Amino acid sequence: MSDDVVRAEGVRILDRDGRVLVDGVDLCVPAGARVGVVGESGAGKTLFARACLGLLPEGVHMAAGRVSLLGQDSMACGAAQLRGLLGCHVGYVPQNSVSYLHPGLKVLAQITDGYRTWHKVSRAEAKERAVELLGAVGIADAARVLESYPGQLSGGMRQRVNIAMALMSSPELVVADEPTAALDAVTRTQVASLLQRVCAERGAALLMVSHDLPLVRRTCNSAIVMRKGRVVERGQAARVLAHPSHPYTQALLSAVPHVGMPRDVRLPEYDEAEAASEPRGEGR
Amino acid sequence: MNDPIVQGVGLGHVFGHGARSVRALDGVSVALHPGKTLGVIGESGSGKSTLGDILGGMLVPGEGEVFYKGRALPRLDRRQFKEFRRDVQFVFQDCAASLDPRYSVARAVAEPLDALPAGLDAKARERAVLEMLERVGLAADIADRKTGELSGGQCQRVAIARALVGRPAVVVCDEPTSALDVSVQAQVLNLLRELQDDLGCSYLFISHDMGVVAYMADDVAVLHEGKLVEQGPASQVLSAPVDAYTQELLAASRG
Repeated sequence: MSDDVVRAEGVRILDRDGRVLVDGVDLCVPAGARVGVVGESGAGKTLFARACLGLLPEGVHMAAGRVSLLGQDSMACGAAQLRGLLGCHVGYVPQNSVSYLHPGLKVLAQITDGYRTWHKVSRAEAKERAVELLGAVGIADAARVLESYPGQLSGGMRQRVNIAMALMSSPELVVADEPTAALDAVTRTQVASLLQRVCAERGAALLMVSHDLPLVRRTCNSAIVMRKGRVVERGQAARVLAHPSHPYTQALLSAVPHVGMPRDVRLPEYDEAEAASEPRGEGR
Repeated sequence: MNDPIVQGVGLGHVFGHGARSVRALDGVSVALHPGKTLGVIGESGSGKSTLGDILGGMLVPGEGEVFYKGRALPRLDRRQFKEFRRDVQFVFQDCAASLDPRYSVARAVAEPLDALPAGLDAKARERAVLEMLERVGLAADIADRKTGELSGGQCQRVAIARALVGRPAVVVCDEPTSALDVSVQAQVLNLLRELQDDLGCSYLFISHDMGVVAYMADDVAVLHEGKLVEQGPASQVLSAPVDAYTQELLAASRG
């Protein structure tokens, strides 16, 4: 069991007014596995992922449950200890590649900064590693990219930089929060398969939060589907996101229009009233 | 086929000057027919939104001409141009940014009615607004809320109500569901299709999502680096694309 990089049990997150935002979520991310968290806006996906990292935003708190991150209780360990844990062992790929990178600093400074903070390496060594990782994420002219400001790069390019940056410390875990939401179709597919490949090559586990069900199906081994703070379905990604058993997951899947569907068919809309009478999905 | 309401011929546009200039659009011709939807597909930066802005009269093209009911835009007189403005409306991706957050829903939806040639009295305005809100599936009690307080789906419904309240002939829908969850997207797409069936308006439907375009469009135009690489009936373009770039887009959408 110590092989799990993340082990979350009964995580319950409330806001200041006592509203339940995440309600009793369990999740294990075994070493080297790729796990998806899917659901729609407001399902609590991001909050849950942040709870796993001990990084809950202000105004919400964890009321019950516990999270073990690389064997340590991430909510209980002190700020300095948490910084060290995250800095050395966890990579993070954000949704918004634009606002995550500092517009006024060159890529070189940003990509090596965290690495040099946590690893005693020279500037030259850090740069060498950055070049290697930019190569791994498919950037051939790494030298030019390192000397660029983020604004000079396209969205897909910036997201590649973010992925390379997340991998600098050879993390055991990469957390990606909607890593492709801001990208267009072709780039999205490239970035997702890249994320999958580099994590596999480097033995990092991947925790991917996304509302893009087909993307998670292609990228992850297993997945949980969240709705209104609860897990409604879990299992192998290929099964859950191709042949779901819970009506909500089925509704989500069938609501996605696709090429080749007959034009006279109306997209099904999920009926909340009907949903209320459904039995709640089981946890496991 | 009916005459197009709005037609663009040989449209081209360059942003910026000199070495830093970007050619956003290059020799594009498209036509919007009553009751039909023209889907525009392409990646970020392919010129989709530039095309929408030009056809909607928001941007004067550097090259080529836009025709409204057979007449070139620069040759419309004042009254005709006002009619064009009323007749062509927009729905954008970021509905929160396209509505004034301090306006009430009722005020936001009623505003385009001021541009109607025969002004409406207060009663008729209120009736038109409430009818439109009901049409887009919003409860009447939402009329007094500020638009800044709405959820993404509600907000996009208000934007659609505002666009359609004056019964335009053309609506430019620029990625109207890209910011929405799939279940809300399904509702908004269904709503747009219903409204088209009822009101007979024409859509220019811009999206990077092939599936969404397949669901919405009668005809499809594919843009790549400002150029029209393929155009034709949706069933044909999406099932058997001729152009290599369209094939790549299609493969990406299938994963």
